[in-house]
Amino acid sequence: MKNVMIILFVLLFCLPASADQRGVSFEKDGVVYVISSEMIARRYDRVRDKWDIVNMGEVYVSGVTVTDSFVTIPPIVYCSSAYCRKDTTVVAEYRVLGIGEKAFAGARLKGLAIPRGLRFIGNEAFRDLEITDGVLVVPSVKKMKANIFDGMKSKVLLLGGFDYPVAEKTFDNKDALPDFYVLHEDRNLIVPELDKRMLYTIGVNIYTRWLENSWRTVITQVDNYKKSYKTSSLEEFSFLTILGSRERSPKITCRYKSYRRFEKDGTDIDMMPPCEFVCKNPYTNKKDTYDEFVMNETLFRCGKGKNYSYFTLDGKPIVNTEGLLDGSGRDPFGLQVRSKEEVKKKNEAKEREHNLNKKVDDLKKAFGF
Amino acid sequence: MMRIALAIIFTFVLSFRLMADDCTVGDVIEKDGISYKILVTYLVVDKKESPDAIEGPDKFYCSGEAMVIHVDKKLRDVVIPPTINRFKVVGLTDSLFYKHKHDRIWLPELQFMGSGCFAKLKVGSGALVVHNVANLGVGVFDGLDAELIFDITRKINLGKAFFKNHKDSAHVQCGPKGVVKIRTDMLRYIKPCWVYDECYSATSDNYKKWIRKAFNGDEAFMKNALNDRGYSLGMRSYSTTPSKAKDGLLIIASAENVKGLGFPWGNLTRDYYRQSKYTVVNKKKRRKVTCYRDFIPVVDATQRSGWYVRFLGKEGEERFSLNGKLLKK
Repeated sequence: MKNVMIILFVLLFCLPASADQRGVSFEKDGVVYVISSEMIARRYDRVRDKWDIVNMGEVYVSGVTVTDSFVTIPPIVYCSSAYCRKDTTVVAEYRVLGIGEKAFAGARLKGLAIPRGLRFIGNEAFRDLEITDGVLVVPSVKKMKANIFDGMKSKVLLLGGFDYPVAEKTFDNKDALPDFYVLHEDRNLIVPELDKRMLYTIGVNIYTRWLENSWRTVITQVDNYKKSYKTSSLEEFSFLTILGSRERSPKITCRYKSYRRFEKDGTDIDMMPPCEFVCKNPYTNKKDTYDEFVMNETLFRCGKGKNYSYFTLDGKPIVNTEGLLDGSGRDPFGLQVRSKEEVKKKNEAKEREHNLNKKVDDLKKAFGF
Repeated sequence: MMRIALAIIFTFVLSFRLMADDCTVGDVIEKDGISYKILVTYLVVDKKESPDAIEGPDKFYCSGEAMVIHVDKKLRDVVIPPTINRFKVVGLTDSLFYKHKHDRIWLPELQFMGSGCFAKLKVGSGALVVHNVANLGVGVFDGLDAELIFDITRKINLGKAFFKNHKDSAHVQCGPKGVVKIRTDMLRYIKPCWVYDECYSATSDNYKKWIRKAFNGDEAFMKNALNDRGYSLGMRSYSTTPSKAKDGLLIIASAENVKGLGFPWGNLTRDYYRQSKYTVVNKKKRRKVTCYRDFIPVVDATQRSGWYVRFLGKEGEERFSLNGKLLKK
């Protein structure tokens, strides 16, 4: 029933083609992702010796739509997005941040592969999850929320990481917890909150076999995107976009809004803090902060709340925005700036004006002016 | 000449060894479907009967070490006690449980386990619990059809227990079909062996769960075996005179490996792999410690106490009165 609900949810709101907003979901390979941020960045291609404009963002896993299957959460998921610049890349690449609240609760899967470098696993993410292959491999995660493993019957293999993860009431409900396994050498490097007496340890050969069985896909992918998951810490999250090719072109920097508060409180962990874009515009000689940023071949748009500003790629503000809108009230980026009623009224007013002018012209002709 | 001959006859006729269990090396004791072979014997005394000094030659008992040489295949539960008739069970012979099928097996702490001892054994409860064992033979757990739990508290010499006795290569690994389990704190003791990379470990309640499961959760079964540990083997250290006396002999009975013959297991046709050892300390001359292979209390009416002690060592036979004075032959 739950899966049906998830599918309906996906169908109603989360079609990949329409995934162009934060908080919007999309489904890929049986996993439902929620977009937590989107941005455009420039990336240097060493092979072609050229700067590329790439569409990228971040997502977290919010659910699963399949059963009795092997589900892989990749470190990076590709999906087409209306946010993309169609002339640069067809799809946007989203880094997977974490696993959301109750994402796999009650699911029955053959196996679940979780990549390294996730930032969080939300409340009750694996509650009553059944892995028919027998082992769930959980790599080191920065934050683990409450009751993640409650009611699980499968073994859980915890992988050691470079940093101690923070667990918040994850292992409090001891009666409902499954068996936790770690590598012999890792028994002192695992989550400090986890009582060591609860742990089983295993030799490296058993460890390798389990990983090979349930993690092969992810290991391959992680190797491919080693750079991506290595630079996944919050501190490093900052993308610089330089518009145009001249020195006096505007510089756009993307960063997390209220990053420090998020780190301290740990609230809304499933929803990462929204991004903000700092625009340093040499043309106006101003440095402004915006909530949204989007660009095309000739101009870019910055938004703050419901106010949107348009600039040419040189940074010159476009004052007459009415000229940018099409007949349906959308700007070049597809944003509905004028509502349909406003457009209708405007069209009606134009038509009335047109009719009135026509009548005036007819009268002028009739009276010989 | 006549006097000497008469003295020998007198001594031979009157002297006797008074032992409660009249066992000698090589004898086989059978009890509850399990056969034990006596490896070595030595004399001990009962602490209750001789709390301070030995009161007479009849206060000695035969004690020693025994090895399990046969287990009835029909037994469902096998309990190998730590002691059998004052003899300490020190080991299991080669291939003792080879291709056997038992429901549960209780083993005491042992000195040795023979080669292929548990090879192809099937344990109904699903796990075999091995306690502290000093030495292990070759391929001891080869093809064991159960999990193997090392319930150890100190370092064990795994030797070639997890390797086959292979002529071409001495490093052909062999182990149980099930997994190997051990207490987490004891992992360091098996680290040099390849089993370390193939084993599970746990502590506290999780470890107890494994042990309970190995005995089908039957607390009584575990307690029965544990109770057997309380069986008294007798005092191996005793004195011919009261402890406050300044003269006399302090005797310490023990057993040692026979040099050159190696470990007790292996070729069972050899009769003696262990031999008794009596360390004798003269109370008057504390620094003088002598070791002998055999010890016989001899009844002699000519002595004031009515008996004396005779030791057999490398240098031949020596006789002492109870106060430690060397008697002339």
